[in-house]
Amino acid sequence: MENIYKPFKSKILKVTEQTCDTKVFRIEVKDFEYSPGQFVELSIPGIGEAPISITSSPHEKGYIDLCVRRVGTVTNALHRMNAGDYVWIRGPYGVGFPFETIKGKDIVYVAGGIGMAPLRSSLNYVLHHKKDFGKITVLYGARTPADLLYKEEFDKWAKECNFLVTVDSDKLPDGKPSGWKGNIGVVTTLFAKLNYSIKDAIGIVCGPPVMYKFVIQEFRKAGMPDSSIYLSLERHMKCGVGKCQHCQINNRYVCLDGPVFNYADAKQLPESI
Amino acid sequence: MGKRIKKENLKRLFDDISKEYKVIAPVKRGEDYVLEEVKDFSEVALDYPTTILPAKKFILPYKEPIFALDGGEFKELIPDEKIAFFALHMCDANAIGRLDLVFWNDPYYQARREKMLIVGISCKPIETCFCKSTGANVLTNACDLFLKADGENYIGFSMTEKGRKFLSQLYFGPETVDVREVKIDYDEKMHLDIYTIGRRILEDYNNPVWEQTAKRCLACTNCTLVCPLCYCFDVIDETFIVPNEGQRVRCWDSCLLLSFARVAGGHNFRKDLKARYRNIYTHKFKTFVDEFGVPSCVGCGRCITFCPADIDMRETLSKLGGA
Repeated sequence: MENIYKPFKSKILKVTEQTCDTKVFRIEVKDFEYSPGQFVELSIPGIGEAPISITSSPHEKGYIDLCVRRVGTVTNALHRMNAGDYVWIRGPYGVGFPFETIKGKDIVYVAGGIGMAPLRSSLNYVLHHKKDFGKITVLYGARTPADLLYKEEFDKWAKECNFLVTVDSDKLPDGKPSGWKGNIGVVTTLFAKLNYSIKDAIGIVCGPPVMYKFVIQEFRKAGMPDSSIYLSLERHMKCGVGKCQHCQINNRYVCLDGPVFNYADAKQLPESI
Repeated sequence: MGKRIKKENLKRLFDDISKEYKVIAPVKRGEDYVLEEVKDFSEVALDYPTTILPAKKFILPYKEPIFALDGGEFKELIPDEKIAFFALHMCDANAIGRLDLVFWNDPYYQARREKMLIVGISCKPIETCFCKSTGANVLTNACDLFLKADGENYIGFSMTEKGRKFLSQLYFGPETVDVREVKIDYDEKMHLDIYTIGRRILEDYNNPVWEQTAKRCLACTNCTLVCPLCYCFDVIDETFIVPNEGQRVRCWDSCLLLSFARVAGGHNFRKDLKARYRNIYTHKFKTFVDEFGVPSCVGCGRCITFCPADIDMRETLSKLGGA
């Protein structure tokens, strides 16, 4: 019997520092098919295993990128690793974004903090297949300018879509001014800057748990029906295969039915957000 | 159709099974009964009330090494043991049948399960039993062989090929006995319409019963530990004192624990005990039913017996209505 818990050994090809606590790990994979929104279980022998969303887009072949914030034992250990070191991977797991359903539509991405990681996979995929979609908008918020991820892609995104960024505070973590010239305020303040109707667009949200209900309020205010809103939900999936129960939300599993959920479905699930 | 076996011949059945299997059976320990490895038939309790722990401790061990971490590589540790449960109550056997639905593709569970023999036996329901409400009082092929009490003696029924092999032995009488249905029938202290109640959990999510009962609950996890169908697990890497060696273990977890639904960064999706307490019921009587068509509860009553706060799952369920 195939061992559903057995990870395969993979080489770290490259490590890119994003912020003081977040790095992107490029991991070598072969014949690895996935869709944006899916995640892998990453193991470091002797340390443990953790679910990590894939941040690269499926059109990039031969590797996957994992954008990882240092928050727990596995992610701290991973942050001490370098290119040439090995990690263990299994997956991909879950159901990603429903591109077939949303083809031809305008899309509004709302990303908060590390929520940018899974959304970037979807965003770069959509931008790569731009002719299949309508107008693409990205609303991205982070705590401070120092916490913004993927700054090196901001110019590209600004050229290819309507890309708006904000920070909660323009001070650096040490309290010093950052010289930030952009928007200040939580991510929902960016909705006021949209000069077109998003009523018929698809909303895609990923961020810290506290963010969801405020973003959904904005979408609703704009006239977007709940069934046009997709959320990528966070849980600590320990097994990834619907057994351990850690990601269970009533009668759904984030690892099997999600992590991407349609809001019309998720709102029927108490405790989902 | 069954075959008769005299009580004094059960020893021969036990001995034959022992030749092939490591036999786990109920034995008396102090005032209580437990399931443990038995080598001598005289130790087996045939007529016994519910054991402290169910068969789960042998099928999904409390802490099971799943990989050896050998020089930084993951090496599978697939168990190799041939277990026979002898004289298991119907509810406990059916609990294994329901675990089969979850772990059908789990290599560790299946390695044990494929080689396993389950011999069930009649029981005398006690005050805490509610297997009838959960539909676990009926003989299914979770039992390979079932011994139905018939006065002083027994009638054996085989449900699988493995069971038939033993039923054909000489200690079973040659003539067949026609019994239409083998089930445990009794007057339950409280009968529950489990499926209706299960549906009501999501419909009536904020029923005051959760708040009221959670106030008494100590979150000690006794109920989930003794439950034959609570199978939540955690996965942990343990390192040995020797560099690069250790093991990845799967161990029992409980959704009643505060840390259960916590995610990186500290947010906890079920911070309140009320939500965690309700989750046991949501999973057992709604999620599991949606997934597999039966509740993940066999009404063995252990959670009632071992709750230090005297919480009776039947009372909680009955307050959700539909009774």
